[in-house]
Amino acid sequence: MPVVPGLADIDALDRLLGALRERDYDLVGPTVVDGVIDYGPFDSVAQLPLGWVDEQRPGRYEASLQVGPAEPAPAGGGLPVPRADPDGGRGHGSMPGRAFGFAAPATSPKRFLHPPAEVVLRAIRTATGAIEMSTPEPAGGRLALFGVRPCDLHAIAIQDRVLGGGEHPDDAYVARRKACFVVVVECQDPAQTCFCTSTESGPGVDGDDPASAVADLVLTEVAGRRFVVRALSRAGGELAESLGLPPAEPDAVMDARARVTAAGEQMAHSIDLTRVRETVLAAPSHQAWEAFGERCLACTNCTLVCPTCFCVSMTEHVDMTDGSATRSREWDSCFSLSFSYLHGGSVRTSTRSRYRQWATHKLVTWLDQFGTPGCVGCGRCITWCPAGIDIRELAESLTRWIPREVKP
Amino acid sequence: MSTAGADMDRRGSPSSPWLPASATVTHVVRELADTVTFGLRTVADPRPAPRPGQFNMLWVYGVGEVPISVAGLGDGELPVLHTVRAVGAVTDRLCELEAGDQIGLRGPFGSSWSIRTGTASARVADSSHLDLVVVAGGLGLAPLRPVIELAAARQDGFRRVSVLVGARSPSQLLYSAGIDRWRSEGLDVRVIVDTADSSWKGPIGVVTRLLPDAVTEPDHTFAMICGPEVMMRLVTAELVGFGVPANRIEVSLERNMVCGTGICGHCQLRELIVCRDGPVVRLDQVESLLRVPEL
Repeated sequence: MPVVPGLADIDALDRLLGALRERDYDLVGPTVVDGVIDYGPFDSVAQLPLGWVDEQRPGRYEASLQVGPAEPAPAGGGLPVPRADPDGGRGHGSMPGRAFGFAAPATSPKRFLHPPAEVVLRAIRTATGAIEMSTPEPAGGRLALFGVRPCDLHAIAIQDRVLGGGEHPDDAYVARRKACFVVVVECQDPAQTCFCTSTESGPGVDGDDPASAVADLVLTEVAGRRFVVRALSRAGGELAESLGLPPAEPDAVMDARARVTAAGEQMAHSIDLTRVRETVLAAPSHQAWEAFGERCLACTNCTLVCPTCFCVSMTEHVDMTDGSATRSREWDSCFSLSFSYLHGGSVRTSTRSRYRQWATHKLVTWLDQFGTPGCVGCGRCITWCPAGIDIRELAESLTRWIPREVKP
Repeated sequence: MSTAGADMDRRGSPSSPWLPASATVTHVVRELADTVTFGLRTVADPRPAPRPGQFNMLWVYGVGEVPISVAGLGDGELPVLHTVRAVGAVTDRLCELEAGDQIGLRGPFGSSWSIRTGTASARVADSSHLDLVVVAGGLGLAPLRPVIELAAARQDGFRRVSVLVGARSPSQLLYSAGIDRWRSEGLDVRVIVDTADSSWKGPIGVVTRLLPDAVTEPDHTFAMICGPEVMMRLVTAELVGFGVPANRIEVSLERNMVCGTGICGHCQLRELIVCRDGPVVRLDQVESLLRVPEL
């Protein structure tokens, strides 16, 4: 793979997308759908939310097309940029005119790799009463995930571990992942809800980080809507080479690094996962669970938008025309009452206990179970919680409040 | 492409963890009004021999799938046995099975009791200086039955074996014929019931009442317990009180399970994934967890 990063403008990005399409990849990337920026199928650069910004706060999301003063293009850049608007701005340091000036899209690429519903078994009962069973070919062809944020890259690495790294890997997931090409765009405009520096999963992609093995190409935007392009895999290197990109000047490479570093420094909130772990394991009746669980509506939004949540249940179908049976694996949520159902009742009947289960799993026990953290700091559970529950505040309360277990 | 994480690269193309083997019911024994035992033999897709304490996922065509512990290990000639109580849509149908019927079987899954079997050695390197106390409550006798059979055949490797069984009433006592046979084969089996009838001549009360006679040397005792969680809490507390080391006490946990393979998330007990790390766990792994409600 090329050691020297390349430099791409918007036209080169379009050629990159074209090259992926020529290689039979279906493109998935950030697009504007129903007023939010979300990963979805797309064909060309024109469909990307270039110049869009988002504002994310607890229980609040807003996306808009930023028409601020353009970041000056270097001489010879000559790229179209949005018109100036002195009042434009998002309040947390977005550089006007940036192509990728938004934070985590509304949902993660999870649903393209671990679909919300998928048939995993087809069966037919023969005339003799015998059952013949088969697993369908995994749905979905070769997928190129474009514009993946570093938090989501880490989430893919985590799901690889959960769904593909155990003794009984999920074959459909593994097949989709092996046929997948990943283009990351590093973050420069964290939202108020972002905390990936606490979980060491952003805002950039460090080539030494094991999660970087998931990425083929990593793009970092610099002035004038141009991108420093790094290849992290052989496939990524070949593709980048095929575009004939000019090498990025050392200045541009340093500029790119500085921008990502600055983005990390913008994230005001930080949580101490080591101390959270100590408290959660030592004090299962910590009063923070009550205070935060009390506000939870058990709506399951957080588990749906979470890029690492993987839990599923099975739904049985019988076709009334031919009597064939199928089983489909469907996303489930630990916030539902039925999730922990046993003969005689559910283990976790109170919403509070389900909130404790979810947050404990994310922040603490994922590590014991799969050897990785379960949270990537994308902040979606904060943004999309209708009650505005902030997992960072939970973490802070867990570490600050003296647990009732040790009170006299 | 080369982007699949290193965790997946070291494997070839896996077969689906969701694909069951077809299994034919060899015979059905009605144990109680709502409980049956049936034998299963896979049709064309041989599955690994289960170890005592493991479970299979049994799928009823078009209805659903449930985890059921292995009540008889089976081997070349003998089918694998499962004992099922009708408590829901799937188990109702399992209790209606007849010889010759087919269901789907995935497994065996999970951890096993620390007892020597023909194929595998126990986690306890040398058990010849230890007394084994088996404590079962209700249907909890089913996953312990392979252990008791090994003990009755003198293949268990323990110094002495006691089997303590609690049942709600004499008519709810599982495997009563088996209990007679185990006794005739020289095994110390004691039964206690919560509620007696006029036929009952044994002790009445909770199963913990049987413990003092069975645990004569606490520091040379190994215990295997399965039953309702509240029963396991009481029994383990008593054993620890006697001085039995927590790392020589094993319990079999029950949680909701969809996959059996650690990828559905349902069976978590804090850091444990019960289908993968359990169902059989050492008490020192779970003692504090069992004391927290709704964990």
